[in-house]
Amino acid sequence: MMRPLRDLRPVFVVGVGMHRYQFSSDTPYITMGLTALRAALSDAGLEWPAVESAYIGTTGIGMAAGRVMFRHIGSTGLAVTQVENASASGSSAFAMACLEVAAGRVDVSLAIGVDKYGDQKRAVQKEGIDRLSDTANIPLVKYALVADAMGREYGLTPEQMALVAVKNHNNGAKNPFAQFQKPRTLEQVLNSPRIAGHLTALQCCPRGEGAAAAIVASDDAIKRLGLARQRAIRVLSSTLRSERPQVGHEAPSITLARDVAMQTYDEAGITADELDVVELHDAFSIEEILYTEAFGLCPRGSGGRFVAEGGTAIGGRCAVNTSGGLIAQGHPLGPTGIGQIHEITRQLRGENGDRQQPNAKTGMAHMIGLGSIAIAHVLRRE
Amino acid sequence: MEGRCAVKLEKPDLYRVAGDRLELLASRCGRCSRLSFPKARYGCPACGAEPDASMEEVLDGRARLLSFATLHAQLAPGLQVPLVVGEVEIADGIVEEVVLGRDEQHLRPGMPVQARPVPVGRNGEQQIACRFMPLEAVS
Repeated sequence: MMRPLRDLRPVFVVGVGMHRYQFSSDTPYITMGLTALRAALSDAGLEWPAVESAYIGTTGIGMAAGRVMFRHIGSTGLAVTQVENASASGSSAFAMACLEVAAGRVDVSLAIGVDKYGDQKRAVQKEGIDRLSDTANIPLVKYALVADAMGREYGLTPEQMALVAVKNHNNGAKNPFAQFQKPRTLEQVLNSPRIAGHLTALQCCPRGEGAAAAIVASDDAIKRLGLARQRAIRVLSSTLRSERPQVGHEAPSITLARDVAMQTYDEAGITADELDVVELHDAFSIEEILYTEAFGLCPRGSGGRFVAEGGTAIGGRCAVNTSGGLIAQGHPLGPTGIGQIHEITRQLRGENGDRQQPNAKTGMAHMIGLGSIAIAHVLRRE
Repeated sequence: MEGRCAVKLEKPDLYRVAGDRLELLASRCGRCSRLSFPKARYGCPACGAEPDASMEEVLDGRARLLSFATLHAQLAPGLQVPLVVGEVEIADGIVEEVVLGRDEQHLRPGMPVQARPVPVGRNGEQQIACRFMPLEAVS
């Protein structure tokens, strides 16, 4: 019998920090990781020795990335565990840190994602099973095909898909941590090189590197260490599941995304209507439309209209990917899910500057990892 | 006939030549009766039964086209673009991504398509690849 996070000891995000996501460079991963970590410690008002355990989400650096990095900020003897879960590595590291605090084993834990663009080796390439199409395991192709089907079934237009990218690039333009910081017009998005189906280059997330950190703590630690209780953001739920065999014609990753969202709402004790901000896996623009529908933010088949009418814009019904999402903030894999926590925490504190969603109280971070797995966290300002 | 036998199949685990068609090689679980394509190599994806419990089942290579899209970027090594790929239902409830050809002309969702042998060059030799073509377009 599974016990949801909400039934365990309350856990709070007390500090967040980032190193800007960027194209591949000669910046050492240690520089990026420690930049994010120091920013998170400063944000929390914590000293490094107070952190009792660390989970490091990474895919491309290699074994023992955390231990090597932490040597350079002080070897305090804390527990260090590396977490790889493809695109959801950072989200999964965050889940582990939350669960450890919630279980009462430690009072303060760190989730940090840091990555360099690696060799991208995937286990599916070692499965030893051929497929009829050589692109059968490439998500971009799957989503281009879904977009084709949605166009015919629901009237989704290439312009509506492109509007997701326009919104996210324009959000990224105001985000100092975003890899892409240029506002884009609908024409620019539509006229960028076509990649697959109606998906153009500016509707696809970039490859890159960067870092993001989130420190979580118990109520006891907040009191004992004198942290700012009013800035602490409660983590209400932590939900992770993997794909089941396809039923009907819906891609299993979409079914999975919906199932995880519904489960995490149940665990958090909320409904979709209560969400003010959502960061989700928009590796490709069509995904944001699919997931806003799957999460119940708008009716099925209306995701294209929802974005066109401003429902997902800052100030809209539920602001989606105010960071710029994977499309503009970037998707360096290891950090991505923790970058979402960074954005939502700042939103729920009311500290997000000109990307602030008015009166944001409840938010959700939702990632998909290759394979597929889906993971979601609901956060709330109490 | 001798010439045909000399040409290798690009993916012999997935299909075999039957005249001007390709037949697809699936397997059916002896425990839960579920059909798997590709064949269950390590165990039944539905119930987990040992692969020895599965029997090969040959599909006629006829399918229903569900969706398609043209790839414009080289997303996999050796992929020659533009290339049209699609999702087809090769048996009840089994949806697979397949290669359709070079352009979308003559394609429409819901139409019947057939797996056909097409010669392709691979590593300096000719092999038989699988391409799905509209059923009515082939005599």
